[in-house]
Amino acid sequence: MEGFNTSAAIPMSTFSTTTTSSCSSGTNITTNTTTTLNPTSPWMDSRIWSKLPQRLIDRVLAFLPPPAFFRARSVCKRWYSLLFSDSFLEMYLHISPRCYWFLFFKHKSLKSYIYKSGNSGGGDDRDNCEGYLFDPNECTWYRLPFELVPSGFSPASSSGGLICWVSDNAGAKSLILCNPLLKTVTQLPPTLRPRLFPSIGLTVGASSIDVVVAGDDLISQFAVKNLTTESFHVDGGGFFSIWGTTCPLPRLCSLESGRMVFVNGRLYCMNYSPFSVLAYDIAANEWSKIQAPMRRFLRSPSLVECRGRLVLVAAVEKSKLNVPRSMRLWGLQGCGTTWVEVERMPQQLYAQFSEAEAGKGFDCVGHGDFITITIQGTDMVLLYDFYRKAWQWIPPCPFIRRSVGGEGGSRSTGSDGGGGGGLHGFAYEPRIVTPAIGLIDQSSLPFQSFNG
Amino acid sequence: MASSSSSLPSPSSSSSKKFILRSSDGKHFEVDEAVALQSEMIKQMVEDGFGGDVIPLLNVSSIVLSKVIDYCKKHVELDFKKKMDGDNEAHEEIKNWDSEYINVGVDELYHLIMAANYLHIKGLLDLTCQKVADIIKGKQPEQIRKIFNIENDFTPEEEQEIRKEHSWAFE
Repeated sequence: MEGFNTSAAIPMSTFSTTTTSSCSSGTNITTNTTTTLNPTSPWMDSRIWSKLPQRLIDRVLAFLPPPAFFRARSVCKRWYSLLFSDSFLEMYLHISPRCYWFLFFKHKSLKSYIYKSGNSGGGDDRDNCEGYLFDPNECTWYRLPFELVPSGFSPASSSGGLICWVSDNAGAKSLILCNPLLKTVTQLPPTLRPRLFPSIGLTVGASSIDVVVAGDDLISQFAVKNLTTESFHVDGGGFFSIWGTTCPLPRLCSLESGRMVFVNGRLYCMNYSPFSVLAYDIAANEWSKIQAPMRRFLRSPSLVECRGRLVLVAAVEKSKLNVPRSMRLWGLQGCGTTWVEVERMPQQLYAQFSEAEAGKGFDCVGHGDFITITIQGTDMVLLYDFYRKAWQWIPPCPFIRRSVGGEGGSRSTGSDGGGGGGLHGFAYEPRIVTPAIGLIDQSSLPFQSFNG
Repeated sequence: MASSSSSLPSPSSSSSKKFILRSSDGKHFEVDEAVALQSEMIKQMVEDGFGGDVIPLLNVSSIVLSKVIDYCKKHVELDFKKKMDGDNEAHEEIKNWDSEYINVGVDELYHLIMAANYLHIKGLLDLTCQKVADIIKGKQPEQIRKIFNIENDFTPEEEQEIRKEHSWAFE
């Protein structure tokens, strides 16, 4: 019976859109909805569906979200083998709807890494062995194993169904691209310059991969400075550059977040003290600086990608004047220099949020219509839906053992019990096929292959 | 000058060319050229010179055809709007209209898929296939086998193995 719960959500959602447009037909639709919820409903009628030609059934399967697709593989041998069928995968690439989902990891903050590795690094790495996949449409969690990723690596970026992991050790950085659904792991050659915790940008196209590693250059054994960027590029046209492209960072920049967001040919990252936004144009191999809105009054700013656009999310704390404290979202305009406020968290919700947040700071990630706001050191995540203009706390991940106190606990326990119990989120699109990875696997590039 | 103003694209332009579609049960439907050409199959027929006075559609009944025409008409209109008003607004309108349109019974859904496939209307085919996917996505493999009348050709051990392979999707 478990299965019906999820399907129940579908007619409901169509129902809610219908009522807004016509009230008169509302009752009619309601009865319709209840019949589809019934397990013995005609929706299950095999007299109808068994007539559907195989080709069209395949097409239907290509529309399943990945978890349902993998469950469907156990229906019969033919369906199982679709994952290895070139013609099916090609169709899948063309028609499967994009899943604007999120992937969370238990946080391994830089600090905790340094302290932990002093004692014994073991515990931390085990935490990174699994990721928590969140479907914002159905509000469902899945636990993804990452056992193929060796210890000593941390998730740093994601794009096109792949997660980029970077080695924790100071020095030349090793990078691994991983598709957790297919359990594939591909290693890139190490970067050329020694670094500590650089910012990593990744963008995976249909037939290209770009990785950018920026900042935290080790200038001695004990000192780092944000000096350079290294880029890796490979594409279907046969062109590749293995960390061959370097570019100096703007002077005196501070890239604390470690994150880069890809929008429209550029990678953006937050620059700190004072706040501004740095943009790296991949094709031009060039950095530029964009002024941040209300930069003197921002707290915990994050850059996110949403509907193909760069959005800055931050708390605004302007004690003077009658500007209320709030959470605001600004979209970068087409000209690339000005920001327009696109949304503000409702006052009441912000009061609740800031009580839970209590100065801990928060991280934001955007994907499609959605933005998640995670309170640092906790597993509390707020979800904003641009399409429905709705805010909600997402249900806590059932796969994470909550530390102390249960419900109210996470709010009041506040500081992490040493391990930094928070979540680290990425925009992640689960994909059953990631052809771009073949550019690295099959290419004649002088890579040593990874033997996990 | 005059000719350029009269050729302005407009979905409801009365001067545009008309096609007559004949359903399998012999009913005639008069539609604008732009509406008929939403179907790649009809487009191909016209290009090949078969687009005479009446286009016979042997596999589509009048009930289904009128529903298909509703879809094509609306999408011609919305495509036009998209050009005029910009992407975002039209995109949401299409999304809303489609979700209401596809709220149909199981029989009708089946016939719409078959018609969309036969007439080669990609948007409608995607919409209908997505709807079926939505119906089965929460179902257990055993239920899916029943729906499509598929025989389980795995041994219990093999099935167990597959579930283990993707245990994350079954949790």
